[in-house]
Amino acid sequence: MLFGCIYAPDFPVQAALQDSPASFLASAVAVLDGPESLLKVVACNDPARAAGVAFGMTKLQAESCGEIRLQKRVIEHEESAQRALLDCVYKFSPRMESTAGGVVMVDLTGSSRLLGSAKEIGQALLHEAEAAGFTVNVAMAANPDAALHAARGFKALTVIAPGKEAATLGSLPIAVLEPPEEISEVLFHWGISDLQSLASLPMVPLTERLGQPGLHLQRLARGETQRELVPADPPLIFRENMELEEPVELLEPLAFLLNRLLEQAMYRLRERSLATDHVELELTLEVHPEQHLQADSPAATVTSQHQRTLKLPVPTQDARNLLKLLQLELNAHPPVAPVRKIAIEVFPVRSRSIQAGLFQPLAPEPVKLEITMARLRSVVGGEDAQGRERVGFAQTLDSHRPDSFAVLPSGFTADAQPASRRTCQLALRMFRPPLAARVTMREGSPATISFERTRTRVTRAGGPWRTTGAWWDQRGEWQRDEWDLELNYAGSVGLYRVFQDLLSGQWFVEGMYD
Amino acid sequence: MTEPAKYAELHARSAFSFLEGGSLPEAMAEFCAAQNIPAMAHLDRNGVYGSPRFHMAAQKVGIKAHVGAEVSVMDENGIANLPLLCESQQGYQNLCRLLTRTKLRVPKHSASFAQISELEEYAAGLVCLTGDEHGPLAVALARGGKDAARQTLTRLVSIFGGANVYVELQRHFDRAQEARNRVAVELAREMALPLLATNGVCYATPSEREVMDVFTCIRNKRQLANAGRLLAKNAERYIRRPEEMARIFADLPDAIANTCELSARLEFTLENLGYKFPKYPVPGEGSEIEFLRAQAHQGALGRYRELTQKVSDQLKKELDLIERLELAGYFLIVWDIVRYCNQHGILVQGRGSAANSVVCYALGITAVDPVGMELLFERFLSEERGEWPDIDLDLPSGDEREKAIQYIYQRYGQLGAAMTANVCTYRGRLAAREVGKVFGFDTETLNRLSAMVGGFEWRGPNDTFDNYFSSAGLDLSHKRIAKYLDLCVRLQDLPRHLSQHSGGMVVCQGQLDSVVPLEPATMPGRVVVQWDKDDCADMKIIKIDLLGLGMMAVLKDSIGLIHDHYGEEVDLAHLPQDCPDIYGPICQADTIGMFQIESRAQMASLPRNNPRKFYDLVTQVALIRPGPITGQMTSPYLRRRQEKEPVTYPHPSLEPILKRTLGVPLFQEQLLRMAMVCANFSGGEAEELRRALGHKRSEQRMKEIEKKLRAGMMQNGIGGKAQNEIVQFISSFALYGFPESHSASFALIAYASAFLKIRYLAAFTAALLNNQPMGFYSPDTIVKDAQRHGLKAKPIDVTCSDWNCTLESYAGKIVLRIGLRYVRGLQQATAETLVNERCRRPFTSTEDLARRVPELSKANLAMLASIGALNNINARLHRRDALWQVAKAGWRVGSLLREVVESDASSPLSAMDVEERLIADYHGTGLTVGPHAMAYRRPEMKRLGIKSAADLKQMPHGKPATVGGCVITRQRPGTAKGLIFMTLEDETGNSNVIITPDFYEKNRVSVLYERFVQISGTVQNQDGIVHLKAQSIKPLAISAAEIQSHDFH
Repeated sequence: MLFGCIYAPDFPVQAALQDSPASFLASAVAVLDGPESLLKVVACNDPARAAGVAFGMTKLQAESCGEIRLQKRVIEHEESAQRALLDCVYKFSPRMESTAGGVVMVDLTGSSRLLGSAKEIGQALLHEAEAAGFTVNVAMAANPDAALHAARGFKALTVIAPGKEAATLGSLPIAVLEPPEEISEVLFHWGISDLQSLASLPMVPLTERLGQPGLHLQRLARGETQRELVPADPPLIFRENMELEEPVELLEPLAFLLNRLLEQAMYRLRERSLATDHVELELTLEVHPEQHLQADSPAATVTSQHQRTLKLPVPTQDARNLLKLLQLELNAHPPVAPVRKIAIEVFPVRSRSIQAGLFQPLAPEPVKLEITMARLRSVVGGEDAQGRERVGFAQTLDSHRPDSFAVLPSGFTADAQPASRRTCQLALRMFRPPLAARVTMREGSPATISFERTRTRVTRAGGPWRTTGAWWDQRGEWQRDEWDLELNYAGSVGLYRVFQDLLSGQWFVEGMYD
Repeated sequence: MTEPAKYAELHARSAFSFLEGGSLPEAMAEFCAAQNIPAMAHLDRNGVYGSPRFHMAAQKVGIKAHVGAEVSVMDENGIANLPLLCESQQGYQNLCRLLTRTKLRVPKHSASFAQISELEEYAAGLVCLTGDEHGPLAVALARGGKDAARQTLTRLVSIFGGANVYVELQRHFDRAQEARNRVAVELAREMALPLLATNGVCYATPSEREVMDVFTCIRNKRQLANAGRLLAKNAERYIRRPEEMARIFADLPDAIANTCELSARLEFTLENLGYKFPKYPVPGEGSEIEFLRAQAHQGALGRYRELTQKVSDQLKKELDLIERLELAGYFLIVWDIVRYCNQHGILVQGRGSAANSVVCYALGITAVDPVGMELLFERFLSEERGEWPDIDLDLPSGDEREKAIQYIYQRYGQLGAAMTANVCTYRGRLAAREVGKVFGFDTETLNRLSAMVGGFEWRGPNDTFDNYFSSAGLDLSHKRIAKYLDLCVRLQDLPRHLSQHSGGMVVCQGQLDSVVPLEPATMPGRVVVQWDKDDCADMKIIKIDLLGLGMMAVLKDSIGLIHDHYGEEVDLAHLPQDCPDIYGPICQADTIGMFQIESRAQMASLPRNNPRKFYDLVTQVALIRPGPITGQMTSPYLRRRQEKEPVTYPHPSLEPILKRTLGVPLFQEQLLRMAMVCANFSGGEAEELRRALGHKRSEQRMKEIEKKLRAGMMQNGIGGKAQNEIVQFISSFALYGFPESHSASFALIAYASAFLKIRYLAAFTAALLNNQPMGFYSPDTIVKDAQRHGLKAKPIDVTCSDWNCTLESYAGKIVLRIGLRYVRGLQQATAETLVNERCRRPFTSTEDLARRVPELSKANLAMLASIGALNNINARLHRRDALWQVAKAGWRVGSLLREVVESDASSPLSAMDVEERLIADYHGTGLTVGPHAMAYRRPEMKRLGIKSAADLKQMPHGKPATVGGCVITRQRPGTAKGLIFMTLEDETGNSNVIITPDFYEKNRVSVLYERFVQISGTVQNQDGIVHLKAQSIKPLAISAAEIQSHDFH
């Protein structure tokens, strides 16, 4: 039996520095994690430790230690670093285990003929990891736990000969076993600081005191345990690529190709009972920037990327609908040059099944609705002059501001409030946009008004009705006085709503009461 | 010419409606006067919280202040806010009772509302308005239309009577409101009820609508961006000019005319509150004053043994004045509380200005002899000033203080006594944080801002909001940020909520709930009044402060231990005075554990002040306060004490006032008297100055006072340097200074603590350890200090330790035994079970202990074993043997094996070494009774050239030296310009290190986090005070023990 273990100390720091320039590796770095208000150091490298940074320090304390690079922990970085470590090991044997962050085990039993002695394999592992940009310890032993503990405790490469586990591990501190906190405390008080002293305690009395967990620890300390590795899964990536012999120039043949890729991706998703709500399309284009000079010279050909993203309100497995949406998207934003390569990545999520309520009104299927809206958007455009969406669901806003509404991309939200209680029994025909007007005042009330090239006398006036708000907002602030005016306009008496924007002093006719 | 319009605003609420009003009552009163409004009714939501302040402000500007409240009422239409105005004293009393009844029915912070039946009960003397959009008429109209509105109106008429119901009309340019008004006018005409125009004022000026909107968001936990229609529709609820109101209500002139008519009807103001201090039930036939005279005379004989002419004269003078002011009852009631405390073994001592009175001294209320100390009685009580006396009682903190408070509740009834309130106002940090949330700033910015905005102090000219915001990275040119800054500043001093004052109590003859509404406090069984202590003083309500003081508990416990173990009685009132053996250590700054004089700053000034008699201690206590320090009074005083500079006075007229403190003002009274003498301040103005100097001082108030001071001094021909010096003295006291009498009371406790520590070290140390946390030092430092003074301390031992630290006899000496309270994680109840079980029968083994005290958890047992508390349980075990045994004992066995006793066999573990024992001691108890960690390493330290604390004291000034030790305190006082004071401890004592801001910036980690350090620097040895000014610092690897430093940043 032969097991190898790669252990990357201060793994979060190494993960954080994976893509940094080499000069950063020597600088003091600490990685912080926790809620924004209470970030604490979860890992740091040797230079940072030397500067006084310690595990559990707050951000403020760490900052006070001098020139320390503080980085926030990013789990994705650690996951990708762990994948890189697995990749290193995969070259030696597929029987590998992703034991913990920065720890990878590999079963190398029977590979000595192929790969050499334990020491040689160990060295090869070490080099592999270093080439991938990690600083690691490697240990080789006849059981996985002994290999793990040796890798945690000893620098660089350790090779433990079978039967020498206890003797080799004896000098290591108890901490390499990562005992549970309560046992760790007991052992600390007992003065048991290394594996040798733990290994030499009488077995039965120890079990009486620390139970099975204690016994297990002792067996670990003696290097006597044996276990199976938990095989690591290759990650789930649903990416389909296609390189074309001849660039495609028209959207229709492109759609045909897209359909094939989507079908394939959806098939793979369905096999795993997954769906997607996020599709990334990447088209590699063939661009000839200097066409007018040497159109046929291949040297002048450069490529460019065209990327589109689809996000759906609900996950789907339906390739047809996705194709429709992609087509609409490409119609609205067509690639500027012929397409040479196509890559589609769909991001898996759990598929969702919705049970509609018995009394719930029927609504169009979300994906179909999405398609309809995308169609409309491609006809009328995205946003209007006020930055409001043109396509979507109109919703009144909770504001005293008259006639305030928004257009939301998806359906009604739960906190939508009902419109205010109607106090006016008359119906109002709104003029959109309101009509500019000129008003003369007498004794604080409108006397005459002119709009639409007609001037008329105000026979009766009610008001002002004053609303002001958003005083904290540079753009949104409004102040206005509304008046209800009785006018003899265009030959008939009518009741109009007129308002003055108090910030600009401008008057408008907003509507007419029925 | 037309006559100017007349209009009184009869519906206004201030910021004292807590987040439902945007201006302070003072601002509203001033604005009313400016707008020519002759009267305003101040109606807070469910209370009369701001009425006293509005009343006082209105008096100042000459407008009439009507009293009332918006009371929440529940009926079939829902909850409505009913505005009620007090027409007569009876009406006010009814309003208070009604509010008390509704408030006390529900817990604090819950919505309270009155029932219709209660309105009927308390309607007499009240005038009711129909309210705004939340008033009963609008609520009924919205729910049931005109018919429901008519019904509601009819019911109000039947409750309050037709003449006392006014149909209220407000016009804020709102369509819906106007529609309601139309119905209201119709109903009023139909039922022949008078109309009343109001503006439903919520703030003084239109711009405060923004404050109101921010408050609305805070109340509803929303942001401005998403508060929507919770915010105000417009900014019309301000104080409008009468002409404007007349114009708006031109169609309803009677609604305007009625305001002045109703204002004239409302006779009641807070002037005739009807408060009476309770009478003391005198035994027999005599009057209160006769009884007081007899008690005072008898008490004086007890105090002075023999009455000198001076004492008799003073006594007579004071008693005559008390008789004239009819305050005999007050003194007797306080005497009664003190007597109750004495009878129940609760240590009590008066402080504050009461210490100036020989009557208080004779009655046992205070312990300072004012005749001997030559304290001026007039500062406590004087006929001219018209002030009310203020007696503060110090009680041991905790249960005993609570007992005294409960006695007062029990004696005067729940509705006859209550605590005064404390109005929490928006200050720098709170304002920055809450307004920031309302503006939708992210958590990171909020944290950055709160960290940057200082606490309660405005320390210097750079500590402004502008600077804070700029350094937090906020762009002040942006409108949103500028608004944020503006609102943070405008929120300053506005009240946020009411809490309970730490100890102020008010009692009343008859029912307190008819004087001021009462409400429940957070603490169960406590009731608070709606006014704070200043309001109570303004309203001439006498309060008694019952304050908790940890040192009182220490003194009391010490006296008990001395009685039990030394067989001696100590009477704090008759301690031998001016003993050189007590002042000796004080002069040498050997004061760890002593009340008020143990801090680093106090220690640094003690050798210079060189206190040799009681009055020196009084000045010492007052000397190290932010007031005298920042006012630069401390150094001149100390130099004068050492006769290094001549005694001079800013102005010859100040000599009588400042003579006793060598020409330097140290006490608050001196400042007040300076203001009276130099700037002709009246008694009332001096009182205002005193309040402005209080802990909730406002910038605005101080500025006004400074102006007045300068004007007064100019009148008296004091100008130039003298004027500046005097203003500087007075305004720097804004940063806290002590009154002389208060200092004297504290000095008395300081002396008592010094006396007990020096004469009865074991008892004092045990008492001090039993009342932790308190004071400046950790228990470990206290134990180490006591050990250096010759006390033998024994470790925790389950065979003899109690919960508390106790005293034992050992080799003919009294020694200290550390109590089980210091075992980390051990509950008091568990420890008590252990002690009871041990009293029944000693424990025979660890197994026996674990079985008989099943409450001891496995962790408890391991902790006891690791600190050596089980070493003596049967044979001599070492700590690891015990740990090995308890590890097994902790596994609970079934009933069958429960009685099987296993012998305590030795373990395979090796004994702990010194370092391991130290680590275990500090981890398990936070202290060690063994040698100091540094003691084990002294030879090594000598080799390294590191001096001990004792050696450092012998070093001459200016020489370089290196000291090493364990850091026990780090202090960075706001008054010390960024200097850090660090105290290092070793087995010979403490060394004091000064760290400059520059040095700190370079060595932050070592300064802040290392437990053991070696510091090199220059010795500063002046006047017996030795400091080391740090030039280099290095961590020392002495021990990994978790020795805690007491840090004050």
